[in-house]
Amino acid sequence: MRMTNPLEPPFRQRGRASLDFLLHFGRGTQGLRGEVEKDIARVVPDPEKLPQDIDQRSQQIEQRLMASPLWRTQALIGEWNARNHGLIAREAFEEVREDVDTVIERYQSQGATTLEPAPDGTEPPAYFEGVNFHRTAGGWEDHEMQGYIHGEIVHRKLVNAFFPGGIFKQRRAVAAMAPREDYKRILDMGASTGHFTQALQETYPGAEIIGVDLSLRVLEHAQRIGNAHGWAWKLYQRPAEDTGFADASFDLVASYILLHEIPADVIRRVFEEAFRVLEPGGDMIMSDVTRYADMDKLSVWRADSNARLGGEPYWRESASLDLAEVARAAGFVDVTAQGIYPHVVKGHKPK
Amino acid sequence: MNAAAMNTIATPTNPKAYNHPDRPTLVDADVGRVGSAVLALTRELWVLTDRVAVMEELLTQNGINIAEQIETFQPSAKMQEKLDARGKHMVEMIVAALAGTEGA
Repeated sequence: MRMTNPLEPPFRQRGRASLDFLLHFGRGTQGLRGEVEKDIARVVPDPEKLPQDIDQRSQQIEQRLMASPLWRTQALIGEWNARNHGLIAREAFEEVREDVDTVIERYQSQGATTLEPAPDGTEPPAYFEGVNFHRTAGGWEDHEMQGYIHGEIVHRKLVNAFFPGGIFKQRRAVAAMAPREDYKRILDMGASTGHFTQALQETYPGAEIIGVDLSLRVLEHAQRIGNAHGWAWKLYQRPAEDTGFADASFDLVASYILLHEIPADVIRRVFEEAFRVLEPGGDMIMSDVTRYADMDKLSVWRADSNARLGGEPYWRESASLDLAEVARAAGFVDVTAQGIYPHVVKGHKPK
Repeated sequence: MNAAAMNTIATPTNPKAYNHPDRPTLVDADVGRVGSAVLALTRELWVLTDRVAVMEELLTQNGINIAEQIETFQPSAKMQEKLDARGKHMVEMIVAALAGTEGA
């Protein structure tokens, strides 16, 4: 069941045109990116000879590329976009805030989807607190409506425009990769603003859905999404590596593109936690970004450089992990890992 | 060496190199003036912003309330397509100027 989105912001002229400008920016620089690729090929004629060490590799390539005005221009544009996209989205929201306040309030307070914040005084993990993931202006927690701004404006309006078929189609495809036709009780680790949670609910309409995330702001928006669709999600501001749920209390544990936002040791704990809360015979499906092991040296540099400049402090260590090995180490059996993007790992807990 | 030989001007071996001479433009020391130019441009943008606001106000006073219509206007798919093409073109022009690839 798919519906129109009652939470869609009714943009005013300045916000609408500014967001459109960001899209024009993306499309209008495609030619430049193509030309930069030629300069990269010129300065790196034989990628196999690049240093093994990623930092040395980046330094070498980027030093050589600084001689290219096209590369310097691309750097300027990338930096401007990284610094400004969140601020522009925030401004577009502020322009329509009075118009959407009622709808936001209605779907946050009325409906069957519940949200339990972390108890007062709970310290967020050091790997999360103060990190501006994706270089989002002020991070996830700075603006009281960051969940709405990220979910409805950055994600749905901007990011969605650059994914063939849209990011929501991709999420539904991953949700459908779990092995069974139906599940009773599903845990979504890193539920964020509820976009993958929605895909899980649409794919398994009879399931009870529980979501956890460290950010209260994004979960508030997930709650609005759940209520706007009449779903009864149970959302908790808790870390995926320590959910507090009873042993053997789910038949599917899932996550979508969460893992690269957490350090490698925490990723291992997330898999262990997934194993603990699954009932015997229960299924696990986790997806994340492309593995460095599946890329050549030049592609690894591109991904690593984008991560370094794009507010992704744990991307390298996450993308360097063999997730199938991590899953097996946690106890999962019949583990498979497939796909370039997203890279999907599946397994189940022995009966 | 006679006078004629002294005045000989060699023909460029690659005249096409003159199409796009390697001409340095700004250097680091110019950054402050680039900043000044951005501020000057901001002033001109403000003058234009003010002018549009005055135009909306005068139209309102003359019974044509266009300001709110502009604010809440949502382009049709056809108009959005035109806006997207113009927006992309504008970005391409600015980027080409920055990268030095105009007309390439």
